[in-house]
Amino acid sequence: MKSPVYSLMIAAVLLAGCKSSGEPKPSESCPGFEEAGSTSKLEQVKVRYLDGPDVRVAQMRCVASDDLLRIDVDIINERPQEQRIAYRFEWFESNGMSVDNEEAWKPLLLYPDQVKTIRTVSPGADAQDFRLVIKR
Amino acid sequence: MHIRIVGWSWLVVAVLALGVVGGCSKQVRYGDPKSVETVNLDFGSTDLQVIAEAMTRSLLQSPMVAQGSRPIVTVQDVKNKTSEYIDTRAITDSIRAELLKSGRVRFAVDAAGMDEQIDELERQQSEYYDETQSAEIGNMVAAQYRLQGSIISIVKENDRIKDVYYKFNLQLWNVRNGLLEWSDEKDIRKTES
Repeated sequence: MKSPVYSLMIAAVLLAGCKSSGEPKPSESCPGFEEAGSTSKLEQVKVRYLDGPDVRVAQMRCVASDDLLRIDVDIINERPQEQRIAYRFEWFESNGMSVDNEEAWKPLLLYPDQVKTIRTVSPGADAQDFRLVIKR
Repeated sequence: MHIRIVGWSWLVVAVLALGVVGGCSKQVRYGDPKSVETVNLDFGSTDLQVIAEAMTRSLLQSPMVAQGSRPIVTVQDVKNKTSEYIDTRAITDSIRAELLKSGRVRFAVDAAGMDEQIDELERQQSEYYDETQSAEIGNMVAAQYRLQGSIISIVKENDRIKDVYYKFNLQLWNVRNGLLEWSDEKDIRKTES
């Protein structure tokens, strides 16, 4: 008598499970994720460190809207002291050619152990891929 | 013998003088125009570049620009309310150049360039030009929006520290109805100790 109810409940749980596992992780919307295969490998490809800053990228999120790519990158200061770094994004067309606009280095103060989110948006519709460069 | 000693001493003085002059000469090198510049607390190239980039990227996401109708904009003055000389035209020129590169905004001639535009139009009306190819008077396109802004600074100092805070504000006004359609700010803090 109760078996149809239990069956429905189990089916509902399974469906819910399928739905949650089907949602993309934040970094999966970033260009190059399919080639990289995982979030950690994506960060290895997308982030370049110059002169050994003591920081680490914790997470990367990408959203495409109105032909522009919006990007959030969470940076962790791995020092228990303040740290001053500079960063900039480099932009590329879909064929790998670099986009003309070379960004300025942006200074950034990180408090001890702080997680800071860097936000940016692509400079135009032709900028479809990016690389984040962080330097001390 | 005495003459020989005097001659040697002059030689030593000359060599020392050359060494001093050589040591004082400054070396000239090319640098990265996009690098972080911290020569002093004054408004500098990094401030200009960071402000222009932040304003451009924000404006690209505004509904007026993002909808893809390529609005026509004119650039008006950015008022310098700081205590130092800042060429605010350089900031708006950078913003305009980056927006043009995006292909999402068109710019109408602004007040600063109006005299040159009228001079050229009138010059083309002379008998020296083929009138079938000359630009006719009365075809200039008016701007739908105007960009204007301001920059302020707050400076504080004591015996040990000097602190400068800049705030740049940019606004996009609808010329037809006077509505403020978009506005954003970028602030910068610099400290010298």
